[in-house]
This record gives sequence, C-alpha cells and structure tokens, in this order.
Amino acid sequence: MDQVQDVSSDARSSSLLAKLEALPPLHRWAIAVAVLGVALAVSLLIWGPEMEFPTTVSQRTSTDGSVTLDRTVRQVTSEAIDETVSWMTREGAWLFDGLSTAVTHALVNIEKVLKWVPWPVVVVGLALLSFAVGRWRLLVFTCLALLFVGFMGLWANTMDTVALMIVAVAIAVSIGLPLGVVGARSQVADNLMRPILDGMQTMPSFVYLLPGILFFGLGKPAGIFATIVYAVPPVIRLTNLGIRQVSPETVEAARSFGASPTQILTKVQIPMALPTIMAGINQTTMMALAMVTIASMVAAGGLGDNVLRALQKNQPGNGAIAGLAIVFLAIIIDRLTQSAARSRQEAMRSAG
Amino acid sequence: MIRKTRILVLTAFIVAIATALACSQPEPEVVEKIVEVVKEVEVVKEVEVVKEVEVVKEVEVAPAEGPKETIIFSDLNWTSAQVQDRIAQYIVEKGYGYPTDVVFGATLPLFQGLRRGDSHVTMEIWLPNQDEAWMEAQAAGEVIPVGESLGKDWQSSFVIPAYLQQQHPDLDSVEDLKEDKFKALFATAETGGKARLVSCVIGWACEEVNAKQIEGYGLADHIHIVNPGDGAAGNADLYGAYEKQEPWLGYQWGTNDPALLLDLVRLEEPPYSDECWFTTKACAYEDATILIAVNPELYDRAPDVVAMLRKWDFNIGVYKGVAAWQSDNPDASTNDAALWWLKGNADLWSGWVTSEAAASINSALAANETADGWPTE
Repeated sequence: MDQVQDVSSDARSSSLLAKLEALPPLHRWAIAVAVLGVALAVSLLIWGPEMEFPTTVSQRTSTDGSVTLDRTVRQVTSEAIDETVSWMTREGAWLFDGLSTAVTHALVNIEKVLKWVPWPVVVVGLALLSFAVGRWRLLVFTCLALLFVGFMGLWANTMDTVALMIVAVAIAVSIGLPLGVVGARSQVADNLMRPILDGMQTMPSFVYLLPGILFFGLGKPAGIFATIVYAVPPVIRLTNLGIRQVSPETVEAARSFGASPTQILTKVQIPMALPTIMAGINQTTMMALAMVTIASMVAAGGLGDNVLRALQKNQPGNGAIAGLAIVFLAIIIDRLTQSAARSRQEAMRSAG
Repeated sequence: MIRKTRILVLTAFIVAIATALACSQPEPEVVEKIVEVVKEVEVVKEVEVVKEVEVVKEVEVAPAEGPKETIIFSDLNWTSAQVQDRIAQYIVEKGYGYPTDVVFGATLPLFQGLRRGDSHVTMEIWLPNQDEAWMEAQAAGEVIPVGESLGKDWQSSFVIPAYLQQQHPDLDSVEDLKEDKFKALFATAETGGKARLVSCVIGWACEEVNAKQIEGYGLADHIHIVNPGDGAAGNADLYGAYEKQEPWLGYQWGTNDPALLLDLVRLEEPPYSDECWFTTKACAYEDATILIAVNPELYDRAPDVVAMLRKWDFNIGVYKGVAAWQSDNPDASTNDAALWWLKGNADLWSGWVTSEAAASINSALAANETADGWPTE
C-alpha cells in the first residue's frame, strides 16, 4: 500500500527528492554511495588526510597587539544568538512584564489561600480525597506524608511548591491540549512539533533558564517558564496520541449523523481520548515536580530552596528531608490524578 | 524513466571510480602532499627531543621520585578564579614540569573535592562566606591555607545601577529605601508594595547576613528579599534590568563580573564595627579575605609549587587590569587572557617563581605555547 502511495505522489510532484525515493532500493543505495564517495574523495584531494575542522573565521591581534585571537565559527554564531536575546529583552519587555505580572498575581493569591487554610483542614481534606480513590492504604500514607512535611517545618514551602505546580500545570494544560489537537488533525503540524518537543525535553534546562531570567527577571514567573518548557510535552504528545487512537469508524459514524467537526472533536474525540489525555496531565504534573529544584535556582521559592541550601551547606540530612517531601508530594498527586483518569475510564466502559 | 535512472547510476559510478583512481595515482600534487607530511613528522620529532631534554634537567635540579603527578585546580564558576587558575596552571606546567588539570563546579562541591584530595589547589576561598565549612576543614587538617589572593576589596554591599542614581539623586543610602517613592521604583507584583532586593545565593553565608542586615536597618517592612539559587542567576537578573535600563536593587561584591563590567553605585551603609557585626549586623560588611588553599597531599609531593603559591600576589588591581582587557577583547577566552597577562607582566610573576622556572616559562611564552591542562572554552 505504501508503494502505491509513493508512485502516485511521485506522479504528482516533480521534485528530485520524490523521484529518488521512487527508485528501486538498489539504485537508491548506489546513488547515495556514489554521491558520498565523490564528496569524500574530493575533500581528501583538497585538504589531505590529516585535515581538521576549520573553526577559525578570522584572526586578529588583541587591542595591545601581544596575543593573537581566533574568531571562531562558534563565536560568530553565539554572538548572533546573544544579540537576538538582548533584542528580545529590550523590545519584548512589555510582553514579558505583562505575562509575569499576570502569572505572579495568580500565584500570590493561590499561595495566600493555601496558607490561610489551617493545616489540619488541608490534611483531613486530602485524606478524605485519598480515601475516596485509594481506600485505607492511601489514606494512611497521605496523613503520614503530610504530617512528616509539617513536623519537619516545611509546610509553608510545600504550599509554595503546590501553588507553583497548580499554576504551571494549568498553563501547561491550556497550551498543551490545543496543540495536541492540532497535532492530531494535521500531519504537517505534527511533523513540525515533534522535534521541538524532543528539544524541550532534552535541552539542559540551564540553557533556557538564562534567557528566561533576562526576559522575566528572577522570581516565580521565570520558575514557571522553566517548568512549563520541561513539563508541557507529555500533555501535547498524549493528547495527540489519544485523539489519533479514536477509531475512524466511530468518527465516521458521528459524521454520518451530521455532526459538525467541532461537535466531533468535543463530543466524540476528546471524551474518548480522555483517559490518555489524563495520563498526559499526570505525566506533566510529575515532570513539573521534578523541576522544583531548578525553579528555585531562579528564586521561585518552595521546597527547592531547602534542597539547594542543604547542597550549598553540605548537609545531606536536610537535603534528604526536603527531597523526601518532594517525593511524598509527587506520590500523593500521582495517585489522585491517576485514579481520576481511571474512574473516567471505568465510567466510559460501563456506559459503552 | 528507468533507463534514465540507470544511466544516472552508471555515470555516478564512473565518476566515483575515476576519482578513486585519481586519488590512488601518484600525481605530482599528491607527491607534494606526502613530502609535506614527512616534514611535519620531522618537526614533531624535534619538539619531542626538546621536551626530553627539559625533563632530564628538572630531574637534576630537584631529585624527585619518578614522574610528576598531575596537579588539579578547582575551577570555580566565576571569572577571577578561572583567570588565576589558568595563570597558575601555566606557571606550574611550564616552570615546574607538573601536568595540570581542572575540575569545574560550584563552590561547595569543589571545596569538598579539595578536602578529599580530588583537587589539590583552590585559588579563591572566600571568607567569611565559606567560614563554616572552612573552619571545619582546617581544624581537621584537610586543607592548608598558603596565602591570600586578590587582596581586600569591597566585599559586599547593596547597589543600584548608576543610571538610576542619576535619575534619582536623592537615593543614595539604605535609609532612603524606607521612602514610598523609592520603594515603588523596585516594587513588583510579587513583592506586595515592598521594594524587591536581589540578595545572596541560597545557602551562602550572605543569605543570612543580608537578611539580618535588612532587619537591623529597620527595612523588614520595606524590602522583599529574592534569593537566587546560583550566582549566575543573580547576575543574569541584573544584566536583564541593565539591558532595559530598569531600576534594580540588590547585593553585589567587588570581584563579581557585573561589579566589574557595569556602572554600579553602592548605597551608603553605617561603617563596619565589630560591635555591631556581632550583635545586630546593622552595618556594612568588613572587606573580605580571600585565601589560596591546598590539599595537604600537595605539601609532600610538590613543595616547590607550594612555595610558589606562598609568594603568589595577584591583587585586585592586577585583576581589574585583566578584566578591562577582557572587556576590550570580547573574543578572548580566559586562556587568552592568562597568556596575555603572563606575557606582559613577567616582572610581577617572576618574583613568585625560582629563576630556573622563570627561564623555562619565558621560553614557553616566547614560543607561544599553551598549557596542556587548560580546558577548551
């Protein structure tokens, strides 16, 4: 079936690449080997077998003439990026300031509420939720974990971290869901998005943390920015996957009943993909928690502060306690969101 | 169409075979190349011979046991420490014949490394910032101070950019931060009307000291402290504000990059006194002491290097010269800066080393050699 499609696309497009793709495998291989062989032979002929990468663009002497400085390809490239970043810092100030003010207002208010509620209420409330989804085992775990956090004097910082999570995950989901839908509907968008998402997940966070600080300044918005960059890919990927997994027959049936594309999306595809989407949100939350320490690097506050302080002062005990608090938080949130996804799934199964 | 592709494949093969043949055939050009290669090999041999001779000489001077082991420098993540590392590495390699290497990292991990002997020399131990860990390690005999570097300069204070003071000439002391109009300058959504002050790295001694100072100055209700998790993050915040020419208030110290590169003004604080420092801390910092420290292991196996470090005298004035040269030559790496400084300041560093070492360093400099242990940047 693939081959049939290849031939038909070849007939339509006249590009060289498409023509080459249409050749029998042996010919394709021969051409590739020949082209690369010629390139290798020519380069060896010109530069010899001991060539090194030419990294120097130009040479000049230092201002006082005593040292010769190489101007390298990397310098030229990095300077171009530096200039773009400073241009964005200057010209985009209104945008970043606006975003940062909005995010901070949301955060500060959530923090206020979380800290205003007396801690026994939070413990009992979460324990009840745990009982609803996980019965006695989860209830006992939630109580012990929260009491541990409280008795270790980490309650306020934990609430800061929870507020950070809520805002970061809310923004990540509101960005990720639409992007996931777009990726599921358009192959072009999917092809464009995939390498970007790969980059977001593997790029060392310190690389984008630095421009993040230049744009947003030290504080919670920069922490939220870093968290979102790292945590948004799962919700995009799994929304995309979930919608693609909805069987074409079901979509066809909805269409034949006269459903509009919007109705198909909101009434058929998204509800059917919901378990997968919830798994994506769960993953996003977990990854956001993994960024707590990095967020503290840019003065976002919360439990990451305790980890960093322990690290700087060489206190393994304090580090372990703060680390455990993060792990407990992660386990509670994971169990709660997972069971939400599961109950959805069960409800759908019983309805179907 | 299939015929066309066959022809294409055939011609490509012919071209490939032809070029392969051309490569293998001993044409005049290629012969020249071979000659060149032979020449290069000869040059390499000469260099090797010279090195061997040097090694023999050193063995005669200092009857050491066996080959010299690598000396590892702690490459702290700020510029002045790295410049000092590069210069010291060059002197140790070229003058004393020890291979050198660096380990890169943050302050505390590197200090633990020095205690354990994973690294052997740290050129900048900042007191009082590292007091706690330092006292403990020194008492345990895990580190030995061998002298001071950079000398005393203003350690730490609260600063604002000079452009801001030009706009607001009245804002010149920490006391002024109590005024609403100045507080408003630095207020953000996060601070709830207070002035935002970018303070010290989380976990450094200055985190607690600054907080106490602010309380001592009666500024607790006027200032919202923001503590970055890393020195570079704090610097980036200042660079960003400077780029936008926005108000900025925070903590800086004399040898930190922004303090050297940007035009910053210190806010007036009550002068330092022991009496206030050990009670309320409502006064300015005392100028810092910056130590050079080595692992005790180095004492036994490289007494000549320890002797050199004892004479080390790289004061803040000297470093400011290097920093100025680096900002004039933005393309220059730290390695370039070290090479430039060594070339132009033989009168300074030759006072730290033996005359044999000075001679071999000078000949290495004349040959434009670089140190093998320098990291690539």
